[in-house]
Amino acid sequence: MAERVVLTIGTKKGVFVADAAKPRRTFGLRGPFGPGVPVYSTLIDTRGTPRLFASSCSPFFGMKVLRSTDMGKTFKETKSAPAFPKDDGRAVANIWALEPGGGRKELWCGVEPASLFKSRDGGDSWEMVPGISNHEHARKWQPGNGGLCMHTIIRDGKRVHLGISTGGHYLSEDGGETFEASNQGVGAGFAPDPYPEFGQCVHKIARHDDAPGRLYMQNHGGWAEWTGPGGPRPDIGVLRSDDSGRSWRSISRGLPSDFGFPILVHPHDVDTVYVMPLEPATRSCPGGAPAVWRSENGGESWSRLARGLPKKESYFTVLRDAMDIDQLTSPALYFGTTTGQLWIGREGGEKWDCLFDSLPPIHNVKVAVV
Amino acid sequence: MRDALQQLERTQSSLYRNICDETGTVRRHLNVFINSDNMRDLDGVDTTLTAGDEVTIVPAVSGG
Repeated sequence: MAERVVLTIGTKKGVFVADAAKPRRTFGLRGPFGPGVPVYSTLIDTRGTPRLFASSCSPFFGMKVLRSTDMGKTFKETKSAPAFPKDDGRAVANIWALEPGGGRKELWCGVEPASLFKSRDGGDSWEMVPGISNHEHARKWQPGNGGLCMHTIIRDGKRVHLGISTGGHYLSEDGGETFEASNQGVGAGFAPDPYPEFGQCVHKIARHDDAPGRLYMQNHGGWAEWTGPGGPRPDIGVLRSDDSGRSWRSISRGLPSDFGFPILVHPHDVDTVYVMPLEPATRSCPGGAPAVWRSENGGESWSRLARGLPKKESYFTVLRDAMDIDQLTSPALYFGTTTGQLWIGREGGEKWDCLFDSLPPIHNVKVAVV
Repeated sequence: MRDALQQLERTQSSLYRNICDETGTVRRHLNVFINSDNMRDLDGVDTTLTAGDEVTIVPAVSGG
């Protein structure tokens, strides 16, 4: 069967699936699946027979994990969803991250309140990972506007990176048995101590398989005007690490704002990284003119990509998991907006078109060539 | 009522998870009526059921 470009689109009112032949000229749309229920996380699992996953986070009936084995024609609930042990006292409020684990069936899942779960059977049963879920810091983390969420899970052999808002970056070197806060150089714009041990509002972390020691982070932006304890802390929003997340340095210079949510690495070039700067006060496009910004030198300088995007009067937000990039030779970026538009940026973001104009508010966009 | 919910957990676990979270708390938007009274206006899950009582579980799905 010919390969297709598949998108999963998690929205406020269910998950949609779009697909296209490789030239990506026209996408068909199916859904919503899990209609009416917010979806914060999706996964296109390409290990073995491809499967699609979506979290279905009902404020009425609780958490579900949806699974499709027919490339998004139908979805069914898995046998169970992540849940804390009965005597824990916490209840899962949202599912924020679904990522592949080891082998063909293992899944890792980040939830709110920030905790990690693992499934060894493709999502039918789940167990809590105590090394981070019961970490000594866990009861001190604070929720951001989206809740206290574990939104980023990056596995690199025995090394595991987690992103928590607001908890910061946590690093494991033993496959997820134990974790340590690893936030040297990661600032906090909302605490007297500008560089605390933990508690930063990390928005998203990205890496590339070809440079596993290098990480890029979109952190909550800085506060240059703050004159209180700790003083101003500008340019703490976009960061880079070259030592597997042990220390971080700013690469924000040249951006119109260091605030934003998603961050991506080009699939074929570890030096090319994408962000979507937002005005910190409104979390919307600076000047009402949306643009993705690209660095082709690992964050030393940035250029604006906006050809085809609205030039004015656009005040949407692009959330942390609502931007992705495909793996084709000339990759396309995709982002979904809180106003329900799905955009494609062909030629690595050089030329933008709106694929779908009136979806529900979009939380999550993932793409794979399957 | 607590015993009734625990019986539901044993016999229809999937339905139970829609009604209660993992701490055993009845979900916020689920209303449990004992005859015509909302359980929350009685003694909650500590309300005593008597023979012939009718328990009705009604989801109140709201939003836009």
